[in-house]
Amino acid sequence: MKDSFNPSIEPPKKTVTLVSSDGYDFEVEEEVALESQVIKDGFEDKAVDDREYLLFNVHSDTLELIIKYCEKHVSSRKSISAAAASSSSSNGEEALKEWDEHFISVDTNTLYDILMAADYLNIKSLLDLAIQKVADTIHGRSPEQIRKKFNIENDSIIDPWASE
Amino acid sequence: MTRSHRSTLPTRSVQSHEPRPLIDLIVERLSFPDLIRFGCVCKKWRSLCGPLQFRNHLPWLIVPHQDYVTSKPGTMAYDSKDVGFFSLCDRNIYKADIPELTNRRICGSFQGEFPGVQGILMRGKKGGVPNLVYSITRVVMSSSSVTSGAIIMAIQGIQRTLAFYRIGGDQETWTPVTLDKWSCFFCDVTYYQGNFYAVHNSGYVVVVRGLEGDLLIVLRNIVEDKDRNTDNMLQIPPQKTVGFQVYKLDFGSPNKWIEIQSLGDCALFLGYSSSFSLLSSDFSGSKSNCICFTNEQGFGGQDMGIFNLEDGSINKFLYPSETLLVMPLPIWFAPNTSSQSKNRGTSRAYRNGS
Repeated sequence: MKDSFNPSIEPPKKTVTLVSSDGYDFEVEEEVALESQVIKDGFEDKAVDDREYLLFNVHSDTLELIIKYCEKHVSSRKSISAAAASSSSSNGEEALKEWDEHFISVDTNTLYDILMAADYLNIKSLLDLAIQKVADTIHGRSPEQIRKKFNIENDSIIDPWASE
Repeated sequence: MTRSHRSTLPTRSVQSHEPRPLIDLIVERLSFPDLIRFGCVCKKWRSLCGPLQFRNHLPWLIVPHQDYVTSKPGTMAYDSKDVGFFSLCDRNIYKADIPELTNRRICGSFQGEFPGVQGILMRGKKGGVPNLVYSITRVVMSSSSVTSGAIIMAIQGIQRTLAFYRIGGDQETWTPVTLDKWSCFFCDVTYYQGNFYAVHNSGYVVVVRGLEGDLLIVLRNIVEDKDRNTDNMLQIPPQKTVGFQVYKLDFGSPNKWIEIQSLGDCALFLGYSSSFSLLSSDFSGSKSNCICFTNEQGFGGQDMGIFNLEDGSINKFLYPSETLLVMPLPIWFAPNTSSQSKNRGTSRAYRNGS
């Protein structure tokens, strides 16, 4: 109880180790890792000293982004609910939306990696964000532009669009 | 977050949950025009947005978007920004900006495989199909998709003759269909179970390649609409549809046309360039035993509406424009036709006066 009167001394935060496919350890706070539904589902079953997860199809570069996203969302949620509790006005949600938008403004390859990782780790809000970004990328583009953007080969036998 | 490299990997790993089709989630978020273009990207993507996405979509009507009348009166070609899709469900016109359609004329939309635009035969610029010199009033294709070997049959020119083109063959032009007699003035042509059927305006049915089946002929009763002023741009008097008669071809010896009183669960879509039938139970919001009709001639002047066979009533088609001169002419576009293969082919002829 003493700790609550002295915010500078906090109990040591529980951490979880996430291991990327290329063998990097990422030590993150438990609540950050629990943003992933998959980790959350298996969390209770694991012994306390064995909180280590190999994410065998998430590369370290992608994992770093994913963790950044989860950390931001955990901290934002806290500040939003704190603002709500003290009934002070807050534009936290809007700010987070803006942050998300900036976060997902990445090149197509990175977007693909994030999408696959968010699906694999089952982080719903991130998956939604990435899917919407893909849909937005397709929006208004011609088939040829879409092919170029996503590096897709045109395998149609006949392409009535082809100009002479 | 701290990051460090390790030399050994833990043996336990995170098992992924049941994989979800991510692409489906993406497709769900695409608007109709985006979906059309999405389907044109590659075969795989085309297969993804077929019947699944359009299971419950009624046919659309391709119409000019801009003020419902094209900015260039008299032309049959679309500007990229002119293309609109009129939805029967909410009676709205959705704008589709399809740059590839610029200066192209939409001659028909084929039942069958979705990616409509892939399936829409265009003319005006060199595309996959050579140009027909004359005006086209009907277009049908032997396949549900634009694939090699498919035959496109068209009624063309002032004399309304038949001509066909085989996709992917060594043919460079359209081949006219010539017969001893009845080689011109065709009202309609349809493809049904491996055969083309053409209707001569004398009522004579030309079986281009014979077979059996349930084939309909629809007579549209048209009278002059005296309540409506002749549009100045339109040199023909306005016409009003007052009813329909539907006949089924009884393949016997001799063949007979038998009038039918009900279409059952079917709805017919009649219009310029192509027409088809659908099982209305496959489409939410669709009425059975009715005929949705639009302008069928190569020029304006005919009304649009929905005719109910049960009580003979006609609901005005709530097309947002009052004018009978809609150019380019509206064309039915049925993205989903998974059920059509088991449906009846349709054909029609005109009868003036009732």
